[in-house]
Amino acid sequence: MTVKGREASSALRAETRGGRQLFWTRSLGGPSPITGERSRVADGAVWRVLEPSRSKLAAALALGLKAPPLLPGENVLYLGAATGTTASHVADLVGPQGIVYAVEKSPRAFARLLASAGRWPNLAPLLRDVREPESYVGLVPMVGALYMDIPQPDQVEIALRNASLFLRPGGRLYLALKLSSLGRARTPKEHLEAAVRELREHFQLDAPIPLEPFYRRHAFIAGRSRA
Amino acid sequence: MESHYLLHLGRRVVHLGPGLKEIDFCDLPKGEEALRETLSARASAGLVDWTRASFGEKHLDKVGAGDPLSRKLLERAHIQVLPLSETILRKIRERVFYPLPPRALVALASAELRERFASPEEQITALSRECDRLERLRRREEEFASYLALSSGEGTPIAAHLARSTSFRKEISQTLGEAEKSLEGVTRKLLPSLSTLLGYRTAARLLTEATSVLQLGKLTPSRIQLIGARRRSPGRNPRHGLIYLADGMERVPADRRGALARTLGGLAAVAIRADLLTHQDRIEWLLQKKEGRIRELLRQKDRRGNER
Repeated sequence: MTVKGREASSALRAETRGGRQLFWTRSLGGPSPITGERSRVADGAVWRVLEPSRSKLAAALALGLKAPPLLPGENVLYLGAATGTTASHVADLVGPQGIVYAVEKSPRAFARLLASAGRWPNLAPLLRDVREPESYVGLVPMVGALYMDIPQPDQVEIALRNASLFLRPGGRLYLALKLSSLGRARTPKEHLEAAVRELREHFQLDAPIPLEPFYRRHAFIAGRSRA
Repeated sequence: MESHYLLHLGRRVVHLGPGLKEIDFCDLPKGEEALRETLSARASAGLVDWTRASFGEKHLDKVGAGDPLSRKLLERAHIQVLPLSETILRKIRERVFYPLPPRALVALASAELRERFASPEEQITALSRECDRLERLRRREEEFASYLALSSGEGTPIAAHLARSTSFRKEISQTLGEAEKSLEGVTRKLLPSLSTLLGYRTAARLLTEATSVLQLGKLTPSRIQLIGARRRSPGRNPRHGLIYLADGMERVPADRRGALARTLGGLAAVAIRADLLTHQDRIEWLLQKKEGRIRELLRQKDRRGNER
């Protein structure tokens, strides 16, 4: 089964198993898993499972992310790649014609990201701090999509700064927002409203998707940058 | 004077002259004189540099971060260091961009990661964590061996297992000893005063907890006193930080250790600054202060007014 309205990306499949929704991406990095996820062979390709409980992107897809997910051939800037679980799936989705620039600051997490990046032909790891986008300005081109998952108090600010430098007009933003990282002064709902207000100035946003029950106090925001 | 811009791109410095039109690659030479010559030659030739330079000079590496040393050096070389606005950055990138293939970025990242892991702070962090892990492991093994010993009779399978456990503990102790030796060497080299003041293990733990040399250097005495404190009893803030593991703590009675922790926090801040910034030898002075404070605390009467 292909995901509804997303036939464009043949690298993504959805299935329902025991009432739970799962996604599979066609692996570019060979059969063996990178973080112990299941894989299977079908239609002459290796597919790796993308579980909503392990990836906020999968959770958003399961909960009705409307925007077409990352398209084949697209360059993506991935901020906060950590050990590369979701980043490798994003690399699968954009296919061999696209490049995923995965930025991670922590050297220990990065060591594991680097190990998997060696096996994906289109995963470019960058040991950089996303708060200093100038430090990778000469390495990352303009991209068609920005994916970010950084549980920090200034996550919206980081997203805007990176988008202003790297996202081409009309490019898409995918933001996994951890609301409890935004401080205790306001409720998660108020934080979400404030973040959406701030992002609306630069992006046309879809309705934010709360990631309950997979992630508590998280929301997924997708949007398109204004030309 | 013409305006030049220097832009910090990770390990590389980008040099942009007036106009921002042409781009040229070159290696920035080492040393003030050579740097000035190269840059002025390029400026007079009408070249605008996008200089991707790999170089060994640490102080130039932080130009963009506003490092005072590199600023001074660049000022002397008559180069204005200005932060570039995002609009200009974007303009430059839209006009000229040489994308590196992912494979090249993997190679670059491996080199950078190796460099990061080879730095003394990463070595201290890794070794300190390893020592702590081995210590925990040894403690657990010893604890479990004491249970096993109770139920092991001659010739039983447990007795055989206990023998294996003993040799395993010996192996752990040996590995721990070697790790501690390496840790002592690298910690005493980077943080000589702090290691002498608190002991090299505590100094290493402080650096580990602070995450980096830069963060360690920023710590205030009060923060040093509390860093690493985790346990929080209801209604109270954590108070027993890493500093309670310092050398000399065991010499003062338990109810005076808080006082010594405050003193050591202050002295540690001085030691850190001496080690990382001024490179002065304050070891004598620090030890004298510490010993003086310990003697003073030992003279104090306990809560009931009794002599110790």
